[in-house]
Amino acid sequence: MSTPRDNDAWIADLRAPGPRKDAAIIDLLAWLQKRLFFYLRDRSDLRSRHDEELQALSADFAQESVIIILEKLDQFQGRSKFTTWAAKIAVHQALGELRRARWRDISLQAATRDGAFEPDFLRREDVMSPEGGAIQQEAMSVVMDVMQNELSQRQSRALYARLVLGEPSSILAAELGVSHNALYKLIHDARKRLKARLLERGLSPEEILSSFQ
Amino acid sequence: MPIATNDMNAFSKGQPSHHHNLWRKLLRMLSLTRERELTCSEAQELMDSYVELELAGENPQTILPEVAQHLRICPECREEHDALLKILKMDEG
Ligand SMILES: [Zn+2]
Repeated sequence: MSTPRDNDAWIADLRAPGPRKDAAIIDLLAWLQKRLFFYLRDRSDLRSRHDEELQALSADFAQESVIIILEKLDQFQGRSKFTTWAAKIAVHQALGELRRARWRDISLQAATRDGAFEPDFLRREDVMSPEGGAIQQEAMSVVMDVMQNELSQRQSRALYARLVLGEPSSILAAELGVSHNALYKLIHDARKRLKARLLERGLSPEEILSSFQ
Repeated sequence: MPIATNDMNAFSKGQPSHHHNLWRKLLRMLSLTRERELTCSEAQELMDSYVELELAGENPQTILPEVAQHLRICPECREEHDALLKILKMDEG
C-alpha cells in the first residue's frame, strides 16, 4: 500500500472528493484482492483453478466488496481496524458468492431434488444399528414425532435444507420469502422445540451423544 | 467435491454411516442450542472485534461468549470467521 493509513485517514480519504478518494479506493482494492487471492488459492475446492482465474475472481470479489464498503462507510464505528472491518465485509461477500455458485452446480447435478422435507431422513434402522440401544431409539422417536407433528412445514423444510442438503441460508431465505434473520429464528425455534421435548423425556442431547461411545 | 454433494449422493445410496452422521450432527446442534442466541447479522457485527482479540492473543470465548456460541452452531459464519482470521494472519507472517 502506498500510504499506510490509520482508521481516521481511511475514512477521511474515502469520503474526500476527487483523486484522494480514488487513491484510497485503489489501495483498498489492492489490499483486499491480494488477501482474497491468497485465501482462494488455499481453498481445497478451488485447487484445480489456475492462478489467473483466481486472480480474476479475487479482483471481482474485491470490486463488489468495495462498493458495499463505501455504502456502509457510515456504519463503521471504529471498534476494530478499518482494514479488519473491510476484510470482514469482503469475506462475507466472497464466501456468500462461492456458496451460491456451488449450490447452483449441485442443483444442476440433482435436477430432481425439490428441497421438500423427507420425514424419514434420519432412517431409524440405519442409525440404530449397531450401537443403537434404548436411549437412541427413544430419542429418535421423539425427534421424528416433533418434526412430523409439531414443527411447521416451513420449520421442517428449513431444518432439512440446512442440515441435510447444506443449502446456503441466503438462497433458502429467498425461497421461503423471509429475511436471513427470520430464517435463523425459524430454525432456532425448531431446535429449541426439539431440545425441550427431549429434555422433557429426560434425554439430554449430550447424554445421547455420549451413548455412542 | 462440495460437502453437500457428498451428502446427497450418500443420501440417495442410503449409506448407513451417512444417516448415522446426520443424527450425530443434529444431536450436536441440539446440544449447542441455547434459549437466546445471536443471529448471523448480530454475530457478524462483532466478528471483526472477535478476530482482533484472537490475533492479539486474548481469549474471545470468554470476552464474547455469544459470538463463540454462534460460531459453533452456524457453519456459514464459522467459515467466514476462519477465512477472516486466515487472511488477517497474512499481515503477521
Ligand atoms: Zn451465522
